[in-house]
Amino acid sequence: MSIRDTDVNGADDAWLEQVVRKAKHSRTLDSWIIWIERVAIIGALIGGWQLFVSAFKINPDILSSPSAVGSTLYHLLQQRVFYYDLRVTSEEVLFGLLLGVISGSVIGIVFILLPRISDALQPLLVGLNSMPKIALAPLTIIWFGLGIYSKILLAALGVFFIIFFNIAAGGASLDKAVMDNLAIMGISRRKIVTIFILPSVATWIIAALKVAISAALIGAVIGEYIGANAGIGYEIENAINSLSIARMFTLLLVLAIMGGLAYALIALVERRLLRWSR
Amino acid sequence: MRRSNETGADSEGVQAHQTAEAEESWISTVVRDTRIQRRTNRRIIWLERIVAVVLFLTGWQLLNSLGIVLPILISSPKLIGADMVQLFQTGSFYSDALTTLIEMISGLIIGTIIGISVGLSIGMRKRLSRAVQPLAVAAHSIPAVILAPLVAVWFGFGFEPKIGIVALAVFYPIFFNTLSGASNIDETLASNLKIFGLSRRSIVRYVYLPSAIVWTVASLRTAVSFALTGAIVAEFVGARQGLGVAMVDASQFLHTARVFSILLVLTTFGVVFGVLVRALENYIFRWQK
Repeated sequence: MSIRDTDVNGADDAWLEQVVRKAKHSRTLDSWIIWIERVAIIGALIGGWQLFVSAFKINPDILSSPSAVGSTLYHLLQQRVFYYDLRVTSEEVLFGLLLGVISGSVIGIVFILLPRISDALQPLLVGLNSMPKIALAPLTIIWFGLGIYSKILLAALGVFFIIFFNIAAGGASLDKAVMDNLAIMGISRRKIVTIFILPSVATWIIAALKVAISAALIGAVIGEYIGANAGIGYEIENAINSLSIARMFTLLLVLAIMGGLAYALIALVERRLLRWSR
Repeated sequence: MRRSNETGADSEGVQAHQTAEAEESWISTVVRDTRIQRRTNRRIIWLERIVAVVLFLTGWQLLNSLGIVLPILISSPKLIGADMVQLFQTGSFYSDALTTLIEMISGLIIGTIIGISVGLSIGMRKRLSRAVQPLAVAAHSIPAVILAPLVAVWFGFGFEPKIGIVALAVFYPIFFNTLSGASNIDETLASNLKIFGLSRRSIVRYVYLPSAIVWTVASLRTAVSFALTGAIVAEFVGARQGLGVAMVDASQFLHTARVFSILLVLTTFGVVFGVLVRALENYIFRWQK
């Protein structure tokens, strides 16, 4: 009996081990296949584009082609003005993001600390929230002209509303029981703010950053589309007006890469800073 | 209250009854008091809100009337009010507003339909959806409205490119959420139905679609605000008609009051569409309540 038992167990173990090994193997194989599929999808999209253009002799002024974009990018990277444009747009996005995050956080925190005032201003805020922020672009240009400041302001406005409303929504969900308990424990109001409210606010800000960076990019680039004297968006407008479609595609690609990098950076920061919450 | 209830349950009938009655009247008094208090509180809050709006408008007006800020920069409620009256009497305003609205609505419909169908057809294929999802996340980092020039080049400067841009802006959130919804279905349910011999079509109808729709509707609010932004940006980038065009024209003549008037109209669009989406959400999720 006992011998048989161990026998069965032994067989079981060996069998289990085999299954586990097989599963592991197939999992690594699976993830490889998925990666291959991803590369294949991107490759098929680019290859299909090129093939479509070459096979049907599409007017290059309409669709351009990956090879044209590649060679334009190569030329672009050798022009100094390109780096200047890149710097202008990056500065607009960066300063807009900074300004928006700082102002949005400060005003958001003030509103949490003064619930009475935030209650009274509610209708105005709801109205502002429904306003399409990008429609402020002509106003910022009236205020600050065609230079970098109007774009910084437009980017900052977009970011501000996102951060502010995220904090306001978070403030409404603050656990009142925790605050009451802290108060009962004799902890001063100031201490409650520093040990409970501010850390919560920080997590809401970080959580909103991904949306905020996208808003900053939209603000800066759309601002440049409407009226500017430098920047990637300005160059795109010029490329369209001179019908250099390959150049427009290339610059859009640069914008996409910029957006992707900024987003990845923010996602990394978020994962780092919010690690404890998981 | 709880303690008196316990003693009431433990001791004899009459006394318990009396205690309970006294308790009840005490509670009802408290409830009534808090109700009255809450009502007056609400009244005070609304009063404060009206005061806040009035203060805001007066402050804005005073900045101009006292000559602190040039009216050409921030205009004033009075100027904007006067301009609104004028705006509503010009015929071109209605055609502009109609243009923007039609762009928004048709782009919204097209983008939603394409988003749902592409999202569903990818989301239902497990392997494909696993391969596509990270690509979709990567594409998400690029705001769609930035691509407005691309669409303008393809479709020209007429009416259709604006719809294309709105549809593109709307497509993304709808597609992404539908994809997530379709790949988050109850696998057991789908396999069981398959074993029962249901056709693929009815599995799609009864498992995938309901699961995805919940996620799709959740993204509708974002989609609507993207649609408004998309329509405006499209008109900024290149158009002949629409509120965005009227706005840029007004700003080039430094007609700031007009810019604010149009901004107010666009905000009204935002509010109305927001209310409509909320109504739709309530209707679709009415079974949850």
